[in-house]
Amino acid sequence: MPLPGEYKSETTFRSFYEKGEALDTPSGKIEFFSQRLHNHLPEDKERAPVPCFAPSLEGHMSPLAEKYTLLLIAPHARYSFHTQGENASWIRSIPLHRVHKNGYDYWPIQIHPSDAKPRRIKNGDLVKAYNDRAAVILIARVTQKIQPGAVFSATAGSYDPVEPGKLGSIDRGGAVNLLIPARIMSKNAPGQVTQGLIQIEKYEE
Amino acid sequence: MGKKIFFIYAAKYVACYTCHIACKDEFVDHSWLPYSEAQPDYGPSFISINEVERGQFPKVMICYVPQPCMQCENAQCLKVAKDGAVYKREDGIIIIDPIKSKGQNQILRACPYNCIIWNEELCIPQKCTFCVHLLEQGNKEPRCVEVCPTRALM
Repeated sequence: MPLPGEYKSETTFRSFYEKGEALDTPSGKIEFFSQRLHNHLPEDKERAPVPCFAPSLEGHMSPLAEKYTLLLIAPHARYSFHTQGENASWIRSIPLHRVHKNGYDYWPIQIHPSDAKPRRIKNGDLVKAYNDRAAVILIARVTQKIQPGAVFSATAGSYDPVEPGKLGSIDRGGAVNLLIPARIMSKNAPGQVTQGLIQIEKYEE
Repeated sequence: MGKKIFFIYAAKYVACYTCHIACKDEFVDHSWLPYSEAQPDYGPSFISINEVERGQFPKVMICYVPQPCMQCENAQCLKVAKDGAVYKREDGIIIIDPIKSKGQNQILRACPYNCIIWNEELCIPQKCTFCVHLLEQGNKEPRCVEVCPTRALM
């Protein structure tokens, strides 16, 4: 699309800084306390006018943590855009992306040695990560990169159930999104929750 | 013709695997005879990347060490190869002849750096050729060096 003839690109807030022109906020200034959030959404505790701590509904401090002791952190994958191209043979060949074992490329999960040892999990073992929602077979990568009490597995694994068509089948493709709550950050703000409590045990084929 | 070498700036190397994808792109389904046959679609490329982890949480140091063929001065693969299947060019690049090396898996085992891969389909050992087919066309660099976003490979 052609730009308007007079258009000149400008750094954000430059006119505010140099000429003192008002910003698009009620006060016309940069607001530490958001008047709009205070006026329109005063009941939203998770997105308060001033950013503050809100306890996680599913975290180490919630009651569920007694049953499912590990916090799964599931950010975006490094070597694929979500599941797009995730299973392509060149990408699948990357050992940090998927790990080959017994004729299948499993999705890795990072676990700290202090969590792996009591569960008798060694580097390269197949593990079952589960909670009340689902169960996913993953391959363990025992590493110091993750802190004790948390496990790390990216969300890009494609869904590949062991028994296709059967409700509640275990997934071995590494779709860890199955384990994560479906709720968003706050009912007024988008932002998918990317963590959930799980338990891990060694998986024997 | 000067000797061709890889220079790897390990501090800049972040294991983005762009070099791996470039190597796959250059060699999968492309046979660059007489230097190299096509690379298998699935499996390691000619550049493997080792992850080295040191320390304990929360003070952890991760290093990624790329390992293309070292083009050794005193190459072991050259010594064990039969009927001249491995030879050294004048510019120092070591080439495994894809036709003469058929079935010679002692070449694979000889490499102290595990840089040689085995092509199951064609039954030949394969390794990094420094993209000699590109250098002969006038390119200055192999594909992995061209694509490196951090210029860790030089």
